[in-house]
Amino acid sequence: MVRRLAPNLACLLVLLGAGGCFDVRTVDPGPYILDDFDDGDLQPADPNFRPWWCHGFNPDTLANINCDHDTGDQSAFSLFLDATIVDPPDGTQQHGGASLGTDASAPEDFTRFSQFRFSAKLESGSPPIPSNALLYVELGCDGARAEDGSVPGDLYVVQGVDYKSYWQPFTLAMDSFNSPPWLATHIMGGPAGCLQRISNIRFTVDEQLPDGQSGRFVLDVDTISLQ
Amino acid sequence: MTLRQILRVHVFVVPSLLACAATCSSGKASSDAASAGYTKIDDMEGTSGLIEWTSPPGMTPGFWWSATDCTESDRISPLPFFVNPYGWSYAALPIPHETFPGIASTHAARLRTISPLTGVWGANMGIDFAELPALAGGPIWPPPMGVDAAAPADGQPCIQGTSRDFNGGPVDLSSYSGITFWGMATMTGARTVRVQLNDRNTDPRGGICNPADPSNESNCYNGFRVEVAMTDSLTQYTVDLSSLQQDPSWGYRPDPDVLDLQHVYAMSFEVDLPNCSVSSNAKCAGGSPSVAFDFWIDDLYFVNK
Repeated sequence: MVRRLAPNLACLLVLLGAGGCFDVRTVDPGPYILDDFDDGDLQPADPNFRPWWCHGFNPDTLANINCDHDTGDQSAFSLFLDATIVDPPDGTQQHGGASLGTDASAPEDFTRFSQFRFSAKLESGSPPIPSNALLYVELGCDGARAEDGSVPGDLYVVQGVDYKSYWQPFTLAMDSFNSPPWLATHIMGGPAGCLQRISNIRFTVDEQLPDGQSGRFVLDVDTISLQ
Repeated sequence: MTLRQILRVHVFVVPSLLACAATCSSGKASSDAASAGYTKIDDMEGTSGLIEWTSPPGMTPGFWWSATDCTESDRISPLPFFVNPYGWSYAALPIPHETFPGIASTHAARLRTISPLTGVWGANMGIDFAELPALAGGPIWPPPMGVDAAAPADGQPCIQGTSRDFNGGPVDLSSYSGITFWGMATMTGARTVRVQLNDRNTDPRGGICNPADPSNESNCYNGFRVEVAMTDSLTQYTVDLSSLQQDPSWGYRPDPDVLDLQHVYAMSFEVDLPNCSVSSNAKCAGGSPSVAFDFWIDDLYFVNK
């Protein structure tokens, strides 16, 4: 008797529910703020990410590379990277530049987000950087596997940014991040295989300096969020 | 909301008053009853610096030490063991404190900065659980290297301390499920203290994280840990040994990645500086991070299974 009654009661409840009034609109939780810098420290709001860092590459250097707080995009603070890069006069364009970044203490899955948002401006300094200098957002996945099963430790996906010398907001679709064409190693599972285990976030400027030239820039970044 | 994966790290804050309400009274019998289910490691009341836990046959009790990077060794108190092998002492509590019901504590282990640490890994204080017999009949203390470290040769860098300076050996802690202690930290400094155990996989004396060269410890000391956020009043914290985890981003990690309870060397209480990058070739935004702290650890016990 009890066994027969229970399903009937369940059906009744379902029918009652179907006929009732429920507000089924979804509520947008809003963007997840990775860091807006307005707390005045250099620790991302997401505690899994370590304090921000900067460095120069090609050649690797910390000389004439600085990063710290700056005035924000209509906010108290942003983060700046002030870098002077020298391309060694050796007959080869080194694609030197500098990055602002933050490392995760543990890998995070970014495939649950659809957009990567931030504000930025990139100003040329003295000596000026070429007008074709490139700004990238790079999402690193150090623990991701290459297609041959190895873990090279330096894999990442990238997306270019059409920057200006004044503040602009940017929204990058998460599924538009791709392996950089200059990286010979293919990520197992494609870009999603990387996005599932993000270990660092980098804002990278490739100054596109001709051989033997130098250039200085200031990159400002603010209000980094995930949607 | 946080993106961080919630680690299954269990730290229980046990208000002493609850325990006291059940069993609080004076006298040794009630004290023993109150601490039943626990095994004392050290109550920090003596002056020897030796822990009270009964060491395994053939071994002697471990002792307390403090450490930081040798370039800033004068910025912490007590001084690091490799600067002053006799520098350790317990500190008098501002006011006596009841830990287990009927057990009054007047002293604790205290580690503090005299001036902020800047650009180094941090600082810690800790113990070996037990020491092996001294080699060639020599003294167990001070460690032989500790005497030399305070005075490096002219123009030479200072000498970093290492657990290999001690003759500690592995002990079996598999009859314990956890560790409990009372802790507090001043509100003006760092208050997150890492409780860490090193086993034969993560202590360089185990020879596993540094198989080719014992002195190459770059993959060692990624011990099994939990972070405890302390308040400015002595509060009991209990750490479940089965929940301790390594930092997944560096160092030697055994498979399975769990504490080897049958071969544990040491335990430490550590404050880390913010570490901005896993790569050494990076500059922290805003300059080198620095940290000041002043924290106390009192009445350290194992939780029996």
